[in-house]
Amino acid sequence: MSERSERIIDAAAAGYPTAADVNVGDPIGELVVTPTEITLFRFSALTWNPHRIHYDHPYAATEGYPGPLVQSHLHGSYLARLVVEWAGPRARLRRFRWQNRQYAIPGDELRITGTVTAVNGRLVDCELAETNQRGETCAPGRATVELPS
Amino acid sequence: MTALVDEAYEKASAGVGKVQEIRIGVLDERALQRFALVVGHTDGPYQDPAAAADLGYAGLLAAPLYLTAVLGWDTGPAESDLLADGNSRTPLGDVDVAGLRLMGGGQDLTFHEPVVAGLDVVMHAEVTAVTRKEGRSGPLLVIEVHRRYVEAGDGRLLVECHESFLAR
Repeated sequence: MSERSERIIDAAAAGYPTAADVNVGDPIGELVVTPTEITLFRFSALTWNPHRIHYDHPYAATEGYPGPLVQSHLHGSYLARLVVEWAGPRARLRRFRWQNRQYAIPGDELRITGTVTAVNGRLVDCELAETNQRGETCAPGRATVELPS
Repeated sequence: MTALVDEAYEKASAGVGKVQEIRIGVLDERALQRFALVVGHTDGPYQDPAAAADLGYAGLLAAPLYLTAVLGWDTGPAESDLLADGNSRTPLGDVDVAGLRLMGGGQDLTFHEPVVAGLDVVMHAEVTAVTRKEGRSGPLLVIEVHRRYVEAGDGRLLVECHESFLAR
């Protein structure tokens, strides 16, 4: 079992943004998360997800995976977390979407990044990506967040 | 395998357009806090009711994916009713997928109102499309589900979710 570690890099380093602060192309910080088997177990329990592929290593091996798989919605939660932590508590997440492309297992270092792609008044669009330590994209996403003025 | 996918396609297609109403109930503060903690929201309006109140929320704020990540809101199924891999035999409620395994492909969420502890919530779930495809490891189904989460008392819309599942 590897120890879970996570850190925020540059997120809100200079305070939370307002719509006037933001420009297309701005990075929105970076979140690095290393989920463990404990993370997956607790996420499955909280979401009432009994699928063995998320907590039973020998079972996951029967399906050809090197470990239990990070849940789809946990990937999505990490992406959404980057956005709301960057935007700050007075912002509102309005839309969020993501896709699962590549599986992840406990011990994988998942790096979540984002970039501003559009600013329409107080609504800011961001493109998001979660990549693993091999540079493979596990989950791309997009978000629209309403920032304070 | 092909026959099973074909059977699931026929059965699931018969459920397209049927709306199921599922009672979620009153959102529990502790459940919201636990979910938020596991995904990394360790403080602020996701953990502290006073912080949420200071921001104008009527209760502790739920992490964005809380409602749409929970797979089941009722007590069951009993373990004896699960498939050997742990999956529910009825992952889409009344829509029959003939025992195929579902894997989440992603979601598209629209947040209409903040989701906070104390809200009484009802989910309306509808399978909107079933498509048969040939994947690298054989045939599969792509099942599109639309869920609307509304406040039980006045029906106001809180969250909409379009989710795609791969069924093998």
